[in-house]
Amino acid sequence: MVAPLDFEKNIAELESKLDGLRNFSGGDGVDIAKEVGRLEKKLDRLMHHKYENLSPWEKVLVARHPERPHYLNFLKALFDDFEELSGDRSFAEDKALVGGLARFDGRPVMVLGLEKGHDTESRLKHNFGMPKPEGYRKARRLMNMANHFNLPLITFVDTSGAHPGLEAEERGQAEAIAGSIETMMNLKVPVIVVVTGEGGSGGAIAVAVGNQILMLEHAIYSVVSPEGCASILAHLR
Amino acid sequence: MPFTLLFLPKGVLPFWRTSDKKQEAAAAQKFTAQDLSALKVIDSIIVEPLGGAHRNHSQVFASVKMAVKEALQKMNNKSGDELQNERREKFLAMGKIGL
Repeated sequence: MVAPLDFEKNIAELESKLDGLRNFSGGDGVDIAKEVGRLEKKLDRLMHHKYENLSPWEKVLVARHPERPHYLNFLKALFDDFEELSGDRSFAEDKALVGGLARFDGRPVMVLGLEKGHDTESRLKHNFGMPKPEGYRKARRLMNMANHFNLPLITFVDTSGAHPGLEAEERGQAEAIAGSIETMMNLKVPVIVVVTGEGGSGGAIAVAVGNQILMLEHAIYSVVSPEGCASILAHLR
Repeated sequence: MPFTLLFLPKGVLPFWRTSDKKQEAAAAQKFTAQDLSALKVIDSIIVEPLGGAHRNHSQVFASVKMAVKEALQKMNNKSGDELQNERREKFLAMGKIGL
């Protein structure tokens, strides 16, 4: 069962009512069918109305929804023969950014993306989708490899931002991101970017320099999270 | 080096006094797919199933696959230099349109 978002309360109520009715196998089935049909129509209208008029903040909630498909789900569903390539050849392997060779629609491609994880264990493993410099250096390595073998590059963006920790700064987070942007800008192969959830700041743009940038309807893509933006501006005052 | 843009109308600045003003910040930031498409920061929007991607994963996978396939096809006959130049021009043009 998908946990309802704050603004989805009335939708969730209607859904559970419907479920209850469907499971109820009483004697007079005709009346129930009529009622179910009526409620379904009402639910459909409600959903259309709500989801066509989402406020920006509500979009943030949808983009961060825990049940939203993440990069690894896309990787599994859209690509065949995935062969992961790990490590930045200088410091470490970063699981926040997962990439490698794969086939898309029968065609060999390089694919990489930011993975947030879906439960506590996998979130820790993927560092909540916040890469450290070694992650971006790995990305650069894979991009150069794609260029070398003339493979199209497909990237998936879903991150709240680059890892803001001390160790990331010590190893040159800004340089790693800038280097990744530069490398991507100079590629001579097709680059396709899909923003699937949150596109947060430099952490996202480092792998989002594409010829074609696609974005899911309720995804967000910005320089700073709304929380970060509000807090910075409040402190400036 | 390229840089991303901070879309902030200066007029609203004084109203942010506390950090719980995130909803107002969200409204001013113009980070939705619809806003970014109008500003030409992104090229196309992939429609999600009614009620968001989390309600129907397989439908999302199918539409993303279709969109990526189309995007790849658009670049089929382009040379490496063309691709590089187009990407460069695209990013240099950001911030000049729609603001």
